[in-house]
This record gives sequence, structure tokens and C-alpha cells, in this order.
Amino acid sequence: MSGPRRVLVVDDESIREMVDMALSSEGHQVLTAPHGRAALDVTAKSPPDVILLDMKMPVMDGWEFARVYRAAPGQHAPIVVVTAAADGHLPKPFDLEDLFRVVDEYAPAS
Amino acid sequence: MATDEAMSPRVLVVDDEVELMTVLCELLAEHGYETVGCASAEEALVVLQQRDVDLLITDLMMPGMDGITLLRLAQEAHPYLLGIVATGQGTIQTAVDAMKIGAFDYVLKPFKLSALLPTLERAVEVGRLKRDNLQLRETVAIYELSQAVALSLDQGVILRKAVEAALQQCAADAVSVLLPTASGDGLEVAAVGGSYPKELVGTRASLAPEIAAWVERQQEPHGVNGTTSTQVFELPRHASGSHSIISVPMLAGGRLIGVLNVCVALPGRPLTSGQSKALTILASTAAAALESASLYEQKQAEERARLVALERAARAEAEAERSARAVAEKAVAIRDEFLSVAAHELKTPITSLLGAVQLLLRQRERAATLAPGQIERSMQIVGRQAARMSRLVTQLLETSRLDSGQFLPHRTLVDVTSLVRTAIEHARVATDRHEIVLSAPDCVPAHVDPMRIEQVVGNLLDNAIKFSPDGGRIEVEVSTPRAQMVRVVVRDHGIGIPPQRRQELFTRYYQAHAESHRSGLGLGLYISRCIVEHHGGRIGVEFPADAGARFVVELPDGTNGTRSTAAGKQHQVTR
Repeated sequence: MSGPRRVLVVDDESIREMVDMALSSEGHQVLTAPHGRAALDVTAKSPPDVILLDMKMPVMDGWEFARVYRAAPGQHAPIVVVTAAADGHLPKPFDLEDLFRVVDEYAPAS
Repeated sequence: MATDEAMSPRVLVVDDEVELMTVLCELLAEHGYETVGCASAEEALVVLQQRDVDLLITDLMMPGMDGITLLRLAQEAHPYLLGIVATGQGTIQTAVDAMKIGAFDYVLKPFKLSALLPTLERAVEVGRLKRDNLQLRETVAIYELSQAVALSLDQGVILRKAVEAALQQCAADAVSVLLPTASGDGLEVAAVGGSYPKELVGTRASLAPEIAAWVERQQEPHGVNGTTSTQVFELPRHASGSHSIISVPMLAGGRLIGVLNVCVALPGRPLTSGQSKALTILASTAAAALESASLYEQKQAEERARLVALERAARAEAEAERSARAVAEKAVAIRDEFLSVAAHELKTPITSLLGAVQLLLRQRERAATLAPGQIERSMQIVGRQAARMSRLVTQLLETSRLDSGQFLPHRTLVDVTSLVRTAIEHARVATDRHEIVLSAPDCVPAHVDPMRIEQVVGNLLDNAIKFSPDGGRIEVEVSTPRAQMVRVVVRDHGIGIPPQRRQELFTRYYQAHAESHRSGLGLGLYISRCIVEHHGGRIGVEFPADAGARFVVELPDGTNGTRSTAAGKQHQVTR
């Protein structure tokens, strides 16, 4: 365990619910958003340490979110791409161990 | 017009001694000559302009123009004319001079008829030979000209050469060639030469009625044989009367190809029979050449048409191949896209399901007892995601069955209202942000496949929820707009569908909001449409002005099976 991190999960509802439960049980603080636009609101209010981002989403997809988020001023949390495609950082379906490892790796405890 | 060789020899007698002249004319007439007498050279020239003359007997010494000058002028106009000069003893040298310029003979005055007659007979014979010779030369000349005409395969060249040949051969003033009009109902001027203006080309020929009738007859294949070779006829003279026109039929294989018209200024220059014959030869040669040119052109055109057809066929084949390949490539692209979508759609519930199960296992490893809330939440995730996967797999299987035509509705008598109510209850579980209201009669009985129709209503409700991302009201309505017809309407107030996306809404794998609201396999409306159509009904959609979409399903209630299929098989997108 390397300390609590603030993790933003931007994904399908079922994934958000499961990841929220899993990361919370490890002591992390979890923020969720159903799509890119909602995620931008969240990042503006409470900057996360890492963002778990699905690419295929309604309203604003992951690509668009990443573009807008990175163009915004201020500090930027690393983005972990969560997709069904094999080339993501965290390809679905993933093991919980992988989920925890990715969070530790991309958001080292300060 | 043509001179007739069987005619009596025509003699012009010129002498200022009128009595002597008159007596000589009478005597010669008694001996079978056709005679004209003139008292002066000037008078004789007028006669020569009007008629053809074989022999000229002229006094040498006359007041005014003398005999030698008259002879020279007469021979210029009539190249085959023979002259005999009459002279007194004292002017024998002059007679010799006359011989030098072309007089046939001379007689010494006063002469005896017995001395003159043999000289005349000899002159007639020589004249005939001279004329035959001239004709032969003309014929040879026209043959050579005809060869030039015959060697060409170009209609324009043939016409031009034929006109030139006719002009040259007859020393004609104007020549025209008439050919049938494109419609074949008359003749038009195809070429002109000499003094005819170029503007005549292309105009319809206005021939006198008897000529038109003649031409008409020539177009009959049977009216031609035997008589065609002598068909040289005269067109009406010009109003001035100073010209003579002959028209020669241009015949090839007994068929009239056209008409060659030659116009000659008359004074002193009537056409010889040799020229007429020559024109007949020229006309036939030109006709044959035109026929060949036409056949050649036809052959060329056929060859060109064949090449064009070949090229077109090759192009069409290439085009068909291209479009077949495009169709195949599109099908492959759609399939690949679908596989990618299906992978995403299936992996999402699998991820949640696996995660929830792993979470339970981890927590059990850590603590002897699990919090009841944790267990319940995980189990709910497992249940929902398993159901979601089951739905997706069912959709895939159903699509495959619908595509292979194995689908048959299992109709039973059900209440559509309660069926719709069940679908709404299931939909309400999936959302807490939407208000779903039902307006329906208490009981709407119909013979339908209840599972399938509930599935259709469920699909429409899923879409209504999915495409009203901000929540809102969803109105469902069941009604019987007319006898034996059940209508189910699902209306949302969501984002609707952009006009350019509406056309393919009910086709397989189509996702109207693929970019922004990707969710599902793109099969819901396709399956719904298939189910409704298999019930003999139809499904359509309207887009009300105040946003959202209004899906309308109309089903025959199944109480009269005969009218169920015809109404189906189409769906309509109404804007």
C-alpha cells in the first residue's frame, strides 16, 4: 500500500460502480463521471491524481476529453486509457490486481 | 439536244448574190440536204448561234465580213463544221489561204452542180469521220476523268471530281449533282461547279414534274432495266432561253444514285452526242463510286460502332467489377466495425462481472466476514451484467436467425396493454431519471407473439432512455386506431436523430449516434422491425418539432390472418 490517491473514473456505469467499490476498498478516494464533459467539471472542482478513461462514451468521448483536458491550464493528472481494444493501458476485461498496479504506477504517492 | 447522226446533212449557204444562193439552196434540198441560205456573213453568224450546221458554203468576197473571217468564227463555235469556199478565178490565192485556215475545199465560180455534189458528199463523209473521232476522243477523255472519280472512297472528293470532269468535258457553264435527301423523299443539291452559286448546296431540287416523275420511276428497281442507258433528258430551259441543261441519271446496278445536271450556254455550242455519251459514262462511274463510298462509309461506321460497343462493354464490365468490389469492401468494413463494437459491448459487462467477483474473493481473504452491503452490491453488479450479456448474446443469435429467415412468431391471444406494462416495469428498473407514463385502454386483445412484442417495446424504451441522457418524460400509448389494428407509440423528449441519419435507422448494425452515444450493437431497431414485419405490421418514426422521437408500431390484431402480410414489409421515416 502506498497511500490513498484521488482517482477519477470516466466510464460506463457498470464499470464505474465496480471500480469505485474496488478502489474504495483499497483506501483510495474515487470520483466518477459518465462521460467526458462531466469529467471536465469534476477535474475543475477537485483535481485527481490519476484518470481512468474509457474512449467510447456518450456526449464527449475519451479522445475529446483528453484533448480539452490537456489544453486547459494548470497541473494535469496522468490518463490511463481503459478500452476493449488490446492496445490500452488497461485493456478490458482486467484483473483487480492490474487495476491497483496501474493506479500505483501512474499516481505515485507523494 | 444531242445531234442525231441519222439526220440529213445541214448546209448553210452564204452569198451576197441572193439569186445564186437561193438556187443553190433549192438544188441541194432536192438532193437530200437540209439548207439555209444567208445573204451576208453577219446574217450567217446569227443562224450559227441558233442551230447546228454540218457544212458551210460561203462566197469569199462579200460586202461587210468576208468569207474567211466567217469560216474562222464558225469553226470556233462548231469545231466539227466543214467549210467550202466559193471563189472566182482571180482570187485563187485567197482560196488557198482559206484552205490554210481550215476550209475543207474550194469551188471555182461559176460552178456546176455536178462538180459541187461530189465535193459535198466527200465533205459529209469527212465530217462524219471527224465527228466520230471527236466523240472517241471525248469518250477516252471522260474515261480518264472517270478513273480519277472512281479511285476515291470519299463522297466529297467523288462529287468534286465529277463536277470538274463534267465542266471540263462539256465546256459547261454550270454543273450540279443531285442526291437523295436524308429522308429519301426527294433530291437535294449535293455539289455545284461553274457559275452555280455554292449556296445551292443543300437546297432541295425543284425539278419539273415530269423529271420528278422520271426520277421517281428510276427509284423503282424494276422500272430501270433496259431503258436506263438512253435516259438522257432535258430539263426545262431557263427563262432566258439562252441555256440548255441536260440531266443524266446516275445509275449503279440499275438503282438511281443521283442526277448529274450540266448547263451549257447555247450560242454556237450545242452538246455533241459524244459529250452526251461521255456524260452518261461519267454519271455511271460517279454513281458506282458513290455507291462504293457509301458502302465503305457504312462498313467504317459499323467498325467504329463495333469498337465503341466493345469499349463500352469493357467499361461496363470494369464498372460492375468495381462496384461489386466496393459492395464487398463495404460489407467487410461493416462487419469489422460490428466486430469491434461487439467486442466493446461484451467486454464491458465481463469486466464489471469479473471485477465484482474478484472483489468479493479478495475481501473474503482479508476478513472472515463480509459486510452484507458489500455482498449485496457485488451480487447486484453480477446479476445486472450477466443479464446485459445475455441480452447482447440473444440479440446476436436473433439477428443471425432473422437473417437466415428462420423466424416465425408464436402467436397467442394476449392483452397488449398488460404486455406493454410489463415492458415499462422492466425499463423503470434501468433508470431513475426518467418518468415513464402509459396511456392505454384496460385491455387490448391481439394474436401476437407476446415475448417478441414485449421485446420490441423494450427496445424502443431502451432507446428512449439512452437517447434522453438528461432524463425526462417518456410517454407510451396503446390504442386501436381502427378495426383489427393495434398501435403502440413510444415518445421521448431526448436528442432525436439528425435528418441525415434517419434513412438507415432500421438497418442492421446502424447506430445513428455512433460518435457520441455509442451503446449496444446497433441491432435493436433492426430486430424490432423484423419482428413487427413478421407480424404483418409496420414500424415508423416521427420527429416532433419540440425535440425527441416518436416511434410508432402498428400491428394487425391477428383476428383476420389474410390481411396481415400485405401491410408489412415497409417502414417509413417521417420528418
